[in-house]
Amino acid sequence: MSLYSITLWDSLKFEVLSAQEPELAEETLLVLRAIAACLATSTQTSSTASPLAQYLRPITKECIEHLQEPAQRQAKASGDILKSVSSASPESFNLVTKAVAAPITTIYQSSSEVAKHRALLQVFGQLFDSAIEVFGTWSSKRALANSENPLEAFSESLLEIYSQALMSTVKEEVSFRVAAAQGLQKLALISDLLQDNEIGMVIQHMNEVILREESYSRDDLKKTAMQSLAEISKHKSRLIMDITFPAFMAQLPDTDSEAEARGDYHTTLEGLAEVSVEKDVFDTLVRRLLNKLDVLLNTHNVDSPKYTGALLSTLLFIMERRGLQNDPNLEGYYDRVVVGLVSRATTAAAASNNLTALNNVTVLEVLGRVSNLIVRNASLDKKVTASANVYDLFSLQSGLERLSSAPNGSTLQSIWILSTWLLAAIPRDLQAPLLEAAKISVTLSSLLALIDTDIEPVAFLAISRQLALYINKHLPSSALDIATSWLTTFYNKVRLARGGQLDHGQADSEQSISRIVRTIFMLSKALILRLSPDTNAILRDLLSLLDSSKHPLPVNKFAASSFGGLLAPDAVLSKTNGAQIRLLAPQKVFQTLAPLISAGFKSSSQGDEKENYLTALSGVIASIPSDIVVPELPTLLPLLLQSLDLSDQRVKIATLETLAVVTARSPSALEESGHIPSLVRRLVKTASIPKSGSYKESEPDTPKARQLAVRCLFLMPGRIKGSGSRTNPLLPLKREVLQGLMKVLDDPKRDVRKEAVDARGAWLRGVDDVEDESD
Amino acid sequence: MADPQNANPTILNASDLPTRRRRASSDKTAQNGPGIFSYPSPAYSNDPFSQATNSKAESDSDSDSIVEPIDEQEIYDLISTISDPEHPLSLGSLAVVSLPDISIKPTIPSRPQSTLQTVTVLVTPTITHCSLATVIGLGVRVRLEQSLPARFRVDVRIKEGTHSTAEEVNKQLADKERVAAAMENGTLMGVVKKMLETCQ
Repeated sequence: MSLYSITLWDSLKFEVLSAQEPELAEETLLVLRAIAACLATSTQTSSTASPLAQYLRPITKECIEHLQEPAQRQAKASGDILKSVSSASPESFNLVTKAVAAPITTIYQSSSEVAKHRALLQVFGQLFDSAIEVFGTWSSKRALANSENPLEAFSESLLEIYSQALMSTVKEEVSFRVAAAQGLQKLALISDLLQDNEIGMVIQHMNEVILREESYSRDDLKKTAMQSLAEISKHKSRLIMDITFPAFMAQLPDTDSEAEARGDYHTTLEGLAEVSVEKDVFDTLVRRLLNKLDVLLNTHNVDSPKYTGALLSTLLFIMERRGLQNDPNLEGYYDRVVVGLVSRATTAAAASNNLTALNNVTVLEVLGRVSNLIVRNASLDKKVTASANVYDLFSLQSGLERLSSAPNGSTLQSIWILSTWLLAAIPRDLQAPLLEAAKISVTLSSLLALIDTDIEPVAFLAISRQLALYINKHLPSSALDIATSWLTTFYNKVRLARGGQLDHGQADSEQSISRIVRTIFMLSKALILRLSPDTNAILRDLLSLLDSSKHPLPVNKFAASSFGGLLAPDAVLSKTNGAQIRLLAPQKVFQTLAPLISAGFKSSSQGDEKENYLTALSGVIASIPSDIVVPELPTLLPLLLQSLDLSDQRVKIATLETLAVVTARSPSALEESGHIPSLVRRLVKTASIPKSGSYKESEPDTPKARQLAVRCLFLMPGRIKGSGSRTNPLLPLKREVLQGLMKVLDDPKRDVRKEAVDARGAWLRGVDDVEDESD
Repeated sequence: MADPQNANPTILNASDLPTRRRRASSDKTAQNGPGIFSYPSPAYSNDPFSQATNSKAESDSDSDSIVEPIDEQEIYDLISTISDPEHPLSLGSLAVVSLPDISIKPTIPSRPQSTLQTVTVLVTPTITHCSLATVIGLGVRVRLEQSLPARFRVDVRIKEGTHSTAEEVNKQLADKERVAAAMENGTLMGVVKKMLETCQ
């Protein structure tokens, strides 16, 4: 091998230096590396005369030559070569670095152009990469104990170069500073290279970049700095805690007024969250955040909830990311957050004094989620206590009675949010008095009576979710008829809505109709997701709400738009919270509803009713995986096409999204249906803005709909080609499409124009009458 | 490739090229919440059953009330990703086209209500004797003609002082018949097609 190594190098180097094909270059680099690795295993007498040294000498010489002109393409190639060759073994790294580091530093210092500097920094960065490969990082040391890292001799000067590059350059030189930041990160990670105080300096630079500098273009530099800190914190969390933490925490405002005046605390919080991956840092951060919260809440800041909300959101984010299982501090969190904050919010709301930011609806939502997370991971007895407190909420002034009788406008109504989240955290099979079948039945009755009254939207939503939780999670299969009988009651209520004859004589009948319909859907959803034995009947009953001969128009409309929510993911009724969501539920829903919807659509004669069926269809399809939809496509496609003629944007967008997925994944189904011409024409029509003064004074579709329509057109040429004997179905449409899209090129919205440019390009290039076999 | 007459030796990095700052999203993050974690505001917008009326609260960027006219940055974005016929690099990173060398002016200034616009793009070839200057100019022209609405007139020229036969090339590019004839030439079109393949 040693005989031929230099010859091999001579012939191979062109592949990398004047690379035409990237794959070839990569393979060549691997070969060069393998040669170096092989040579290193041979016995050597002195290091300067060994075969490895002989092999490396011409390589390093030539690379340095190329690096004299660092901005050229060959410089980058040289960097690649150096990296692959030096990463072969510690000896080769040694030799390469000794030969290369000093000359490169000289070139750097002798030049003054930024582009050259950047290229050189990147080459050094590649050397650092191979150092990490050879020697490992702080936490995964790799090399043998006796080999020294040759970079040590250069570490000081390198550190200085990089630090200067990062901190003393104008902010417009983004890529240069990013290269510097990345280099610093790698330097800090190489095991046993930098001293702690040197790494500390690196961390300080990153802190400054994140905290002190203003936002600039895409903030690439801040993101890189954030990532660097996160990486370093994995290895040197002590340093991060000592340096980064105080700096960031000092930046956090102490009061709400300060927070609002400055408005930049989000970056700081984000930075803190990013670096708190390790246990120690995480614990400290949680403690500090909770302390800050306490301080804020003592000022009764009910009118400025944003900062409190941000703090709680950060808490939620880091807890979710870390996962709280087996966390030794869990008990402490339970006491402080679940018991402490929840009871505080509740008592304040009940007494209507001492209100704090916690009583703001948004903040309550976040607090609910945090409590949910903590209780879910808590010990069994804590869960039992929590279940006993679902309505008391650790406060003597609460309880189901008080919550139910809270008047509108009282802050106590929003406390239902906390109640629901707490309930969601209770596991299905917990032995607790709350969850006994008889008690559930009683609770359901009270809740359902309450939901029919005129409570605030926030409370309505929370209570309806509680109903779903009880019915889906905790009701034993034998007792499901409780739920179905309640469903029947509500259906009866809906029937009474015919002709406005509601028995309560409420002023706002539209709201009460919508709530009744919603409740029906929520109860049905809970039952359907667990695939109760009556699922088919339940689905059919839901569909009957669309029938205009059975129910008046407002009911039809509300029902149509609620179908989308049946299978939609819900944060409360989710698998993480222990809900019973059977895997086959979507399939069952779709397979039952799709034929019924298309039958109903065909037999209907009124425009409004047809529209409702289409709305329902688009809602159902939105949450179903496409492989289930595709088999039914032949029957559904005519309906989807008609949906494109409607003016309801939500339906249109849902339909277009479905069509996009179908085109991308199962274009053959579209081809076989034979509907492509009418589909294409409708897409072009949706994408265009009608000329003013045309016959039909219709509103143009929203930009999103236009964009999606063009996107569907874009997807077609690559996938719909026609095969064998059939000609390409897109061919006769090509001219029409290109002309139609020409107008879209002048659309007022940039995103739509861009899609149109792409689509035109695709049709111009992709739809050809002659198959081109060459190139 | 160290050509002493190379007017453009350096390669620009992608993050240094002019991009449009995404106004809408950056404003939102400043107001509503941190970039990585933001929670829905009112509890009821979390509702899976929320009706059409709720989703009308859309951002400005989604309504037609704000018109985004075609500007120089957009033209730049259209042509900067065209690839050079010889190397796997884009015209933007080779600085063959650059933002200051693009201008949009009304075609008939004396008639302000006319919507006709003229786009002028000045191309800087990489080498002063570059024989591919015509092809590059043709590629830019084809791309713009395919991507701009009919009311835009496209004018592609070689920048003064950057090419030895700039006048000649400009004459060719401005001549409609020659351009049309070039479009019929299969090989030439093949090259242009390959150049435009990398467009994003």
